[in-house]
Amino acid sequence: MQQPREHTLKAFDEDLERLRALINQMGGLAEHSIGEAMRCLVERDVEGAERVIKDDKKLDALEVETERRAVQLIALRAPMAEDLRDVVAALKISGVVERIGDYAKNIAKRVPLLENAGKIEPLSLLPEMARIATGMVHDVLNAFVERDSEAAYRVCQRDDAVDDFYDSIFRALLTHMMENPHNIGQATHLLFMAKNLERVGDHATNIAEMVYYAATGQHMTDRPGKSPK
Amino acid sequence: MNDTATIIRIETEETPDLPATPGAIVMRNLNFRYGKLQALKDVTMTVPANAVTAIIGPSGCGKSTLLRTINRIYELYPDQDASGEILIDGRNVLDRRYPLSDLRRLVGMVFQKPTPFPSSIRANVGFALSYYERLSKSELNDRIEDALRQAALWDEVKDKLNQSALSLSGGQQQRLCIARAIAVKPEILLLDEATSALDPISTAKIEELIHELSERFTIVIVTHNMQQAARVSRRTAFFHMGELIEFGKTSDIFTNPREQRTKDYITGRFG
Repeated sequence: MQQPREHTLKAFDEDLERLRALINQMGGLAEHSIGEAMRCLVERDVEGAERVIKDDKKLDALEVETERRAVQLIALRAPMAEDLRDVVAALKISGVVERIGDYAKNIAKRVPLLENAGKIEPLSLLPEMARIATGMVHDVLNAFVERDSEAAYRVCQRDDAVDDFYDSIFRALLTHMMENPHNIGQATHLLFMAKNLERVGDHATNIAEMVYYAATGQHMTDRPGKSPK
Repeated sequence: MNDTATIIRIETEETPDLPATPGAIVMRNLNFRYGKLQALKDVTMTVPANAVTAIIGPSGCGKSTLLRTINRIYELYPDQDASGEILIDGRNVLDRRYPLSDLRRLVGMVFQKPTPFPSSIRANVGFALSYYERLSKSELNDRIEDALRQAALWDEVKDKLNQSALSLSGGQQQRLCIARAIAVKPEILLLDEATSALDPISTAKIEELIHELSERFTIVIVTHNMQQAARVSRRTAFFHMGELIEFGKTSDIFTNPREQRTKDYITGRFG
C-alpha cells in the first residue's frame, strides 16, 4: 500500500505517528488479554485471571489518552482528507479495542467460577475460536497502520469462521445441558465466553470497515466486487 | 443493512447543478497569458449559480488570474490576453463586443485590501448606482440603505452616512466594499482574498455575509485559507500551475479528494 508523503510540517507526522502507535499498543494489549484469559481458563489459573482483569485498566487509560491526542490533533493541526479520516478512525477504533478488552475481562471473571468444573468438550474449542478472533484483531490493526484496505477486507471474510465456531459450541453446550441439568451453570458460563469471542470477531469486522474507509474514502459496501456479507 | 445504507446515501445526495441557470459561469477552454507566461491552461468548468465556489491552490497557480479574467480587468494591461469562452447568461463575456460597462454591472469584485473611495459612506455606495440608473433622491437613499443592510453594515453606519469611509475599521471598510459591489444588483460577486487582512471577528462577519448573499448571487472566492474555503463554499476548485486539477463538492474535496496533487495540497504535503 502506498504511504502518503511527509507533511511539510514534520510535527504533524509525529502526531499522527504517535496516534497510530497508541492504537497499536492498545491492540497488542487486547490481543494478549484474550490469549491470557484463554490460557487461564484451560490451565485453571485463577491468579492469572485476576491479572487479566487488572490489566484492563491499562487499556481504559490508553483509550483516554488516544481520545485526548486525537482531539488535540484535530484542534491544533486541522487535518484534512486522508489525515482527517485517519484521526477519526483512530478515535473510533480505540473505543472498539477498549470493548474487546472488556470481553477479555469478562472471560477472565468467569475463570474462577469454572475452577472445579469437570471436563466439558466445548472447552477445547474455545482457545481455537479465540485464536481466530484475536488473529482478526491483530491483522485489522496491522491493516490500519499499513493503510491496507484489501487486508481489512480480507479480515471481514474471516468472521464467518468465528460465527461457525460459535454455532457449533452453542449446539454442543445445549446438548450438555439437556443431558445433565447439573451442567447448566458451567455450560452457561462457557456459552457467555463463546459469545464474548463471537463479539470480538464482530468488532474486528467493524474496525475493518473503519480502516477501509480511512484508507480509501469509500465505504466497504461500495467496494467493487462482492461484498463480504 | 446494505439497503439502509443505500437509502441514507440517496437522501443526503445533493441535487445536481444546472449549468444553464442565470448567473452560472460557464468556462470553456479558457487560456490566459501574461506575455509569454501561460497563467491558465485550458480551463473548463461551470461555476453554479446562487452558491459559493471557492478557488484554492498555491501561490501562482492562477486563482487570482481566473477572477481577473471573469471581469476582464486584464484589459487594462497590454500583453495580457485571454482566449476561450466565459459564458454568463449564455453570452461570451470575453468577446470584445460585449460592453465592459455591462460586464462591470453584472460582476462585482472585492479585493484583499479594502478599497473605499476617499469620500463619504453614502457616496461610496451611491456612486455606481447614480452611474447606472436614474434614481430620485429617495430611491437612491433606499437603495443605499438596502445595500448596506445586505452587507450587514447598516446598523453600524446609519447615523454617520456622511462621514468619510476611511474612518471605518478594516472589517467595516471591506463590508462597505461588498455593499458598493452589490448595490447595482450584480449576478456575480468575486472575492479575491477578501478577508486575509482582517481579524477573526471581522472575518467571521464577512463569512456569514457571504453565506447569506449566496442565496442571491453567484459567489466566487479565492482564498489561501483552506479552512475558510471549507467553511463557506459549496464547491471547491483546486488549481495548480494554471491547470484546474479537481473541482467538486467542498465536502468531497476536503474529506476524499480524488487527485494526488489535491490530496498533497490540502493535507499540507505540498512541494
